[in-house]
Amino acid sequence: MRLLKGALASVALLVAFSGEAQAQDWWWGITYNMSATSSLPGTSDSDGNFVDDFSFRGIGIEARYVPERGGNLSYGFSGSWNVLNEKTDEVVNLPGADLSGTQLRYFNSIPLLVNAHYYFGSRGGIRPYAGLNVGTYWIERRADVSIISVKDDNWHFGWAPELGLIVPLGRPEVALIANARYNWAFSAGGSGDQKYWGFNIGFMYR
Amino acid sequence: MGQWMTTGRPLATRAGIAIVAIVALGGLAACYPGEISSIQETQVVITTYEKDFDFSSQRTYAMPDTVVEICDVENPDPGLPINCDEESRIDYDHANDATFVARAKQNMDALGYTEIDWETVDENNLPDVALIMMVTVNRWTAVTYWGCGGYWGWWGWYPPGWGCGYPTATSWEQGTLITDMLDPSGASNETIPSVWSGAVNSVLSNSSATNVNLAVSGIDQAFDQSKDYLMVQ
Repeated sequence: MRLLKGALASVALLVAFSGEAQAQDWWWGITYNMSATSSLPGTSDSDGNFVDDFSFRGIGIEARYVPERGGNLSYGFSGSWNVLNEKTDEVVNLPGADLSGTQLRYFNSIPLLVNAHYYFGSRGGIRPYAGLNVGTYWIERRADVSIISVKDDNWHFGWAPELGLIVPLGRPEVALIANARYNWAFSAGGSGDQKYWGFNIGFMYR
Repeated sequence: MGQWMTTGRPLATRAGIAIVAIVALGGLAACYPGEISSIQETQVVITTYEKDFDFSSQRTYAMPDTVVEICDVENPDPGLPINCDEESRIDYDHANDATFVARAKQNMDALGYTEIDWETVDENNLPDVALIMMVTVNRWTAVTYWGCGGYWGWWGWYPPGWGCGYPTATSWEQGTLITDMLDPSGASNETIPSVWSGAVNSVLSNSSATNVNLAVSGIDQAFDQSKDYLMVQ
């Protein structure tokens, strides 16, 4: 809970600070998010491969404040929603019991992150960038079998290194953004580390 | 970024555009996509076993030809974790007992066990394990209260028949078939311990043939997912 308050306070500070910078260097983005857990290397969680399928369901928004016009640094925050799901009939092995049947598995993640990015290249051109996101992840894992539903949900502290690209679209107030994030939410509430890749594409505008 | 500009729309406007976009996109997504598409997909098979029991030393089994109905109307057991009252309980007609028992025996034989005729079992002729089958069929009812319509509710207007908290009742029949493996050598105080149990549960179809197929495939699955330790060595 303390971590959550910290993240929200950071976001609140950024929003408050934006009052001074209003109409200046705030860029807003809307992204379409794709994600994958155990279908890619470096992911999965401590409880095994909960969802294997690649996900095409996800959305996100973000804001970036650039202190120096055309500069190399930005600070901001983001919120997104990733939904991974899978239909499987694999047998679940438990201590002293085994369960089989069609299972619908769902992995819902809502990261609320503050971030900092460094941009390469020069003003007016394509800008590759690298960044780091830190904050909280609300993650719910749910499994439906027949008429039985089991789920857990927790707030996790986590971080996400990010690599991306900003491509100007001919008008100074709109740009294309594409990035990849490696989301790593640390264990919380009896749920192990949750790791998944995010592949996001969208528009930034001011 | 292409160019970081120093002029633009007010922050509130930009944030508003993002929020409206996110709400619109959110309407296209869903927390829980996918669904059960056939009655076969409602089937679940759960097997449990006594971890300390030495399955590898068992060789013989015996099994009665009758499937026992779990809900005993004459002598209800209040400790049962299922609802046996008259409203939810559905009579089981025993028409397919022979099919279910034969399938369980077929699986035991395939695992390497030798059957002892149930009629010959007595204190001096005990099998290593005894199998019994139990069944229950129940009617379940769930009432769903629909929430406010997200799209229409935005404006406070609802088409006819649509609103907040509109209840919908759904009723279905569900069958459970349990195969229990008992250890006669561990009997005490008229109680015989269960060392393995295979439970097949499914929503039932209107078709009797479909229901029988569900039960038979479930029996096979129960033995199949337990064969690593049930197999005679």
